[in-house]
Amino acid sequence: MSDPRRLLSAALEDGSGPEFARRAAAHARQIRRVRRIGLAGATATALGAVLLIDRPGPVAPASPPPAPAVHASYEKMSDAELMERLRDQPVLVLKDGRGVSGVVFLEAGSRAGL
Amino acid sequence: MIPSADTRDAGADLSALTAALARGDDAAWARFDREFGPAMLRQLLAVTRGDFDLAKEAQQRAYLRIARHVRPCESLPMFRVWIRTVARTALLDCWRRRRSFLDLLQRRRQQPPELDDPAADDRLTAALDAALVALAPADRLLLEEKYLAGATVAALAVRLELSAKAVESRLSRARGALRNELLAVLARHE
Repeated sequence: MSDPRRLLSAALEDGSGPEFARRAAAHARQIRRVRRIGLAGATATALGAVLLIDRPGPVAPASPPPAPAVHASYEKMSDAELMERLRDQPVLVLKDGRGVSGVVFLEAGSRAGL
Repeated sequence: MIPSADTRDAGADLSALTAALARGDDAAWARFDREFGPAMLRQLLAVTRGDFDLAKEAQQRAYLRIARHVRPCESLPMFRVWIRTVARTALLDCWRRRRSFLDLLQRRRQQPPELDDPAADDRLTAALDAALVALAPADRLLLEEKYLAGATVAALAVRLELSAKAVESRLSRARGALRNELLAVLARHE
């Protein structure tokens, strides 16, 4: 017998080979699709990660503007300070029914006018 | 060594085929089945000592594995070796799966198939000879003329004074009888 392989193949052929081949082809196509989707997903994930890293961080809340300085319309002073200010200073003391209601410093030169 | 033009052409052809297999091209897979499937089945059948169902199951699993892992390849010997390796691995998986079931039924250990049995091909050829001897003489002659001597169906039809369709029908029956005898012989020698 010179080459029995052809006869062997013919005897063993039951028609399932072509069906196996069709299934394998479908399997290969499915794997290819899955790999493509996986690659696209990985690329998108990597791109997203890069963008996330490059994005500037959340802006820190601005510190509230400094409150405008409140200048009191009056100031308290000790008796000693008051006496110091009043030295050689003409003063007009305003009174109402309840007592002293205010003090007005007069210019030194206006003393003559009083 | 510089490859010859024929070698280069064959390499390019195989490269195109394997790339098409990886793409899942139906025509490429049909060609693969024609060119590589019979040898794979013979190998599996020899190793399984005629267990046709196990051999076919392993062949199907091997096809799926090839579909999953095939890459463009230009070397035919390398590709053949790879196919054989994939087929053996697939067979071992099928055998393990079946063994666990058989162990449960028979409560005994099964020996794994000898995947690298160098006598497997010789055993298959001897089994084919024995199966041919066991066939009816008319069937044996018909098969030998068609597959060993290379006679065409038309020539056989003229010699047998039958229609081509009738010759095809007789050939089909003779192939079935040969397969049954072949598997029986292989199983007896297990």
